[in-house]
Amino acid sequence: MFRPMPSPRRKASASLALLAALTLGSGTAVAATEKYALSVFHFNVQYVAGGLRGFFVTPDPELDLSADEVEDRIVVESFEPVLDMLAAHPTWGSNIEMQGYMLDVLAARHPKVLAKLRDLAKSGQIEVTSFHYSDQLFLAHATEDWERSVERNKATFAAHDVPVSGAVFCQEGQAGPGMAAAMASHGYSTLVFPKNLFTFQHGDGARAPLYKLGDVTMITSADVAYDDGATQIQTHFWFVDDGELFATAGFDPYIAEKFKKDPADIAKREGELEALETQGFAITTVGKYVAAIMPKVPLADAPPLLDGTWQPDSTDGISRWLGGHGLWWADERDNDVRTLASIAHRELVAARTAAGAANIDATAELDAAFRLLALGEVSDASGINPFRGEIEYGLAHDAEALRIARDVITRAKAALDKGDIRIDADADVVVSAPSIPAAQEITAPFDLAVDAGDRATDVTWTDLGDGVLEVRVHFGVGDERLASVTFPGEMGDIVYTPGLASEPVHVPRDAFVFDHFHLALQDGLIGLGPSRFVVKDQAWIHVAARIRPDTGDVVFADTTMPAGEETTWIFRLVNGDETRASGVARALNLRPQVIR
Amino acid sequence: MSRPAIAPSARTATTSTAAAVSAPPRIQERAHTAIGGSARTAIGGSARTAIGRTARTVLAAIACVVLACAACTPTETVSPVPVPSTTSGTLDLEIRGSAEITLTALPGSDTQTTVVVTGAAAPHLLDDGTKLEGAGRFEPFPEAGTELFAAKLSLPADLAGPCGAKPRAVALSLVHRTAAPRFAGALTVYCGADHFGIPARVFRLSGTLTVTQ
Repeated sequence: MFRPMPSPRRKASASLALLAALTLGSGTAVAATEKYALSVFHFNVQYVAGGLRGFFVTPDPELDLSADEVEDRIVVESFEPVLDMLAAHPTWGSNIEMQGYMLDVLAARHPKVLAKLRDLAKSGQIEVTSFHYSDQLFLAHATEDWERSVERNKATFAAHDVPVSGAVFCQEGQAGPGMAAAMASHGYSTLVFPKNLFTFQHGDGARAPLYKLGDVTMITSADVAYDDGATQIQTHFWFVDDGELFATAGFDPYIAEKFKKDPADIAKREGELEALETQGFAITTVGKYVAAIMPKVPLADAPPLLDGTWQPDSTDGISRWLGGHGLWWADERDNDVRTLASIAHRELVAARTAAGAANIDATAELDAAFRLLALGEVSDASGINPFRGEIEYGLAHDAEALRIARDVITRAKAALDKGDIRIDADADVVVSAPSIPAAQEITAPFDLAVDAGDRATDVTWTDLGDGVLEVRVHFGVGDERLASVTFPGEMGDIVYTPGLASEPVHVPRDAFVFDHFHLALQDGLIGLGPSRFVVKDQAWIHVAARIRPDTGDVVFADTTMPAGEETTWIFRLVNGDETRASGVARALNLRPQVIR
Repeated sequence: MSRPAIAPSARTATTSTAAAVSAPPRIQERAHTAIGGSARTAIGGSARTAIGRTARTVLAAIACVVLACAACTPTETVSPVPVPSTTSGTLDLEIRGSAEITLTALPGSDTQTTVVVTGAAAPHLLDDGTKLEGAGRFEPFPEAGTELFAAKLSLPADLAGPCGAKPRAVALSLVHRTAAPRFAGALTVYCGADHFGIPARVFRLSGTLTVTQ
């Protein structure tokens, strides 16, 4: 007995029909209005990362599909039909978003589909949008991991001769202010900011047709009706959703027996688009749309924006990937997944430094390991509803990346012949390891609110010197899955380092309409006041930070703490300015010092 | 994407507990109350049973806590952490299969590693009954409270398999939190002699191993 969820695609279809009806009845005003119909097909060949084996209790060869088999079905049942539909209508443009890994899958096993994609992209009919090699939760991890990913992505697209669009849309609709500079430095031009994430932060209201975000432009995926007296522009998004759902009547790849191309449904949708085109809409791409309207509309400054994902209401923001649980709660362990990725990142950057110091060539090993890390950082390993196989996909890839990194360090140590070494990834140097004086336990400078149900908790503080304290929160064995720690904070600006940014930003706390918001904190840093900051030690704790407009307190909560296992969370508290705090965060989580 | 495409009914995703099968409605109720409330687990602590906390395991865990105490303080550890004398058990491999694993300490940080694979569903890449043996390493991450058991193993070429005439390099990478019996990681098969590159396949491992000193 299957009960399909309310389908965003069906909602889109209904709104499309309504728009068509309104447009048909709007008389002469229609003729003067420029009308654009846009779409973003978000394809994710890692939709079921690792495949469906084990998804169902009872083994069934028809349903226990391997990763390759699921990927193949995504290509054949959902991706190729979209390309075929577009190819049959040369005047229809669209943005097809995918990760670079999907291009590798196409090249390896579906070269004819790759050729179709290439032809459509090279003709300019479609834009292939791609910002990451793997569908990774890049807002939560070190910028360098994404840098390696995007460089691999560029190389992958070049190798397969598919042009990449300047438009950006991402896995889970990840978007944030730090992307602007990152986009500009890699040649991207326009961010498609998810409308629901925008609304969650700023409420309902008219959206500008075009925003300025740093050195790039931004549009939201909301429909726009613009009229300045001289120019009228009507913009409609006819599809912004998982591309896998378009050609399969809304069924997704988890539903193996139902996830099939549905020609009748596709034909119905084609008819709707043909009607839209008849009404004067240009069914086009984001790039062409922006180029067309840029000379005609003002470039509005983007309001303050925070990092987030595209359906913040239903996922409680990015927390769903960083401590929030989904349907298969029993197996979920978000903190394990995200901390292991962070540990692997640290070891990889340390390995690079060690290899350099030892003058050994580890380029191939590190490149391979960063690829595995990108795959391991896949969002689906910790949300929305990861099943055990997806969780273990993340852990497996991260563990293997970690092994390779340590292997490089072992090789470097042998070449250096120094015994224990201190690797400083930030300074990019290796020195003989000095003895480290033990830090002194101190009296708590303030109380933390720790909530962990039946688990015994213990909080210890130590002084690391130079205004930096460390606090360890130990959770004993218990049944409780939810644990939280609240740091008291002062009202004032929200200070954090957005995803893909390198420095903290200040954002007015009163600039938003939300009740609360979750931040991933890629470097672990968030402000508690003008001269106090907390930094997650992401080897131990990497869940979202919850903030509110009416308090400066910051809450870290994990609802997926494994029952029956003890856990320790470690934070650093920095008393100082944000430059100092940012340096602590960088030296802890991004470019660490380790002794090996 | 992991979207909740369908309400579990006749079929339900595999979990480690039967109790979890009936959990979704309660979980959905809690979806927007991630913080606050009593939030006692809906699975009744049954995940604990997967850990298999035998008395022996508990004693081993206590021993590990003592031996790895450096991981519980801010002091960085320079000296090698002692390798557990034997770490063994059967892990799930790709959920439905299994891998019998024995890691025996050797002098230094080395281990003798043995892995016997069943149910990988990857003929000619990792066949049923495949036995992998070789030297491994115990790699502590004291600053992260984490330990890695690693081994670089190998299998000969299998012309009928995806690696063809190339030998198969098989990497074991198993991590756990220091003193915790639960392990996760991978058996990764590469075509060729190198234990890195684009894997032919990453086989997921998870479950409980017994650690004895």
